[in-house]
Amino acid sequence: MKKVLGVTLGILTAIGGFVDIGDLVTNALVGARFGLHLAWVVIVGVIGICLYAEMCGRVVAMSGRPVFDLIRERLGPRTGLLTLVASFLVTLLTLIAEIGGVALALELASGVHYLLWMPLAAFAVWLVIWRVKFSRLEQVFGLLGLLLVVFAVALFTLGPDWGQLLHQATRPHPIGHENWATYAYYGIALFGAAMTPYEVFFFSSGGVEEKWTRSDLVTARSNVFVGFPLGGLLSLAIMGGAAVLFLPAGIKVETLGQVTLPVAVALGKLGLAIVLIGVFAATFGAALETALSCGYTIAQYRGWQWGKFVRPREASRFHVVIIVCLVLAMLTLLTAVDPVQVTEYSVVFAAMALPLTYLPILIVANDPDYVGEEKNGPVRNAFGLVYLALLTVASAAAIPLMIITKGGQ
Amino acid sequence: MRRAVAVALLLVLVLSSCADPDQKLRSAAAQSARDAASEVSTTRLAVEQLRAHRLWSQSAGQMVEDAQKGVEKAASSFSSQQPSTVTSTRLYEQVTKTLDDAQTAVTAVRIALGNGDLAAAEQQLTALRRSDADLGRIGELAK
Repeated sequence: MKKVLGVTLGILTAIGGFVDIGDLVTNALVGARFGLHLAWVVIVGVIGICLYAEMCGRVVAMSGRPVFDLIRERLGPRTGLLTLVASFLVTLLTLIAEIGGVALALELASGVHYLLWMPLAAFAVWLVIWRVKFSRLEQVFGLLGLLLVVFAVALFTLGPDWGQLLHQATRPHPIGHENWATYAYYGIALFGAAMTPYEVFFFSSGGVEEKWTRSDLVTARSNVFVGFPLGGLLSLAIMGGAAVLFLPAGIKVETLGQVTLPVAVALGKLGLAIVLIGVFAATFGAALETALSCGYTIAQYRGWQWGKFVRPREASRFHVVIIVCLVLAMLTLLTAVDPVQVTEYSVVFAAMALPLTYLPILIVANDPDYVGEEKNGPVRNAFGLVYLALLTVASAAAIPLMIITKGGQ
Repeated sequence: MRRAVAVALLLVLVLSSCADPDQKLRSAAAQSARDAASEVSTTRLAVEQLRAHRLWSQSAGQMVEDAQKGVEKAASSFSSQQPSTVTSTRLYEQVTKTLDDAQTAVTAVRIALGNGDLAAAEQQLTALRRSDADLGRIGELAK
């Protein structure tokens, strides 16, 4: 019974923790401009993250070591450094976007300017990381993030023409004034949002924090194969709501307020209150995950003591990295850069870094020295290679498309 | 091979510099109009939801404030265009006026909501709808 409860809790946490500021903004933006014509990318992205997160979970459960630690050992310091730099920079950019998202959610609820909330948000992230137990912070924000289910309720309440939505979802092409370049650009952005590198590093390091062993493989796999797809459904609900409300009105999503508007239209003030708490929890939870991931990647590469399973004094350099990253995020946002634009760019840059993140994972998951009998079979490897090809194409096309479309305009 | 690439690049450069100035202005007008129309529609939606008690006043005020910035950005982006023919000058003036009207209506809503005057904000709904329709027509001038 305790095991079932643990698995259920893990799944719920995974659903609530799946959506972050990148998913919120990108899915709403794409829904408003393309309807559900890009919904297939979310499905492809969710399958990809499931595939690679499962590999990470298996590596941790079998070796007891986090993936980044093994990447450096298996591929050498130079290749490890390349992966470190790419993943770290993208994770830092994502952290900036998440802190901005927390401040924007607070601004929407209070009317106080987000720049005033932002130092408080960064401080709160540090405080929670410093004081709260790993399992507690993961569960609290993951479960509160479940409030984003209100997007799905709102979609049903808006009473869409389901046939029309299905028609859109099964016709993968640009519409109206959009062209193939913007369609491809936002496809890559959605892919980057679904497969953000920090998700796998956090997942694998979290496995070590929670001392996973072979017997925890069921929990890890249920989190991945049930929790992530249900989280993907939330992403599709956000896209659907925007498609129903904004697409016919010609409204482009450029602010977090617009992201929450379909819920307010469908469910009124109560719905708005719920969605704002959900957005706060999702972005705050993701800020914790990205801040921790910044510390994890550098500390694991350098071989420093890391993690929340030891006292902060024993992992001082790990905590210093987190503090420096939070200060950098705060200083960047204090330049009054638009957090929503940072989010849009962060998902595209994430797409660029994807092959560097996922290729080493595929290699480590094939090494019997680390995973023993649980190494990848031919089917997993075939899927892994297909996805690696997709990631490489997305990565190579990201910058040219960004230039051609002037950042998706 | 290199020569072919150089010729192709030169051709692209020449063709892009020889683009029809009227067409270029029409494209810029359509883009700015669509951007502004999006903000006008957001403002209209926010006021309608506020009237229906489905939105808090500070959230609506925040959305309208963001929309005002968006319309200003669209208008300022179009104002930097350089009309060079009689036709494009006429279009420039017409689009500038429509963008100004949109900006005025959205600003009036922002001020009304800032003063807690929902009735004044509602009075702008007709102007917002008209603005939306005008911008929509300009938005269809080019892809």
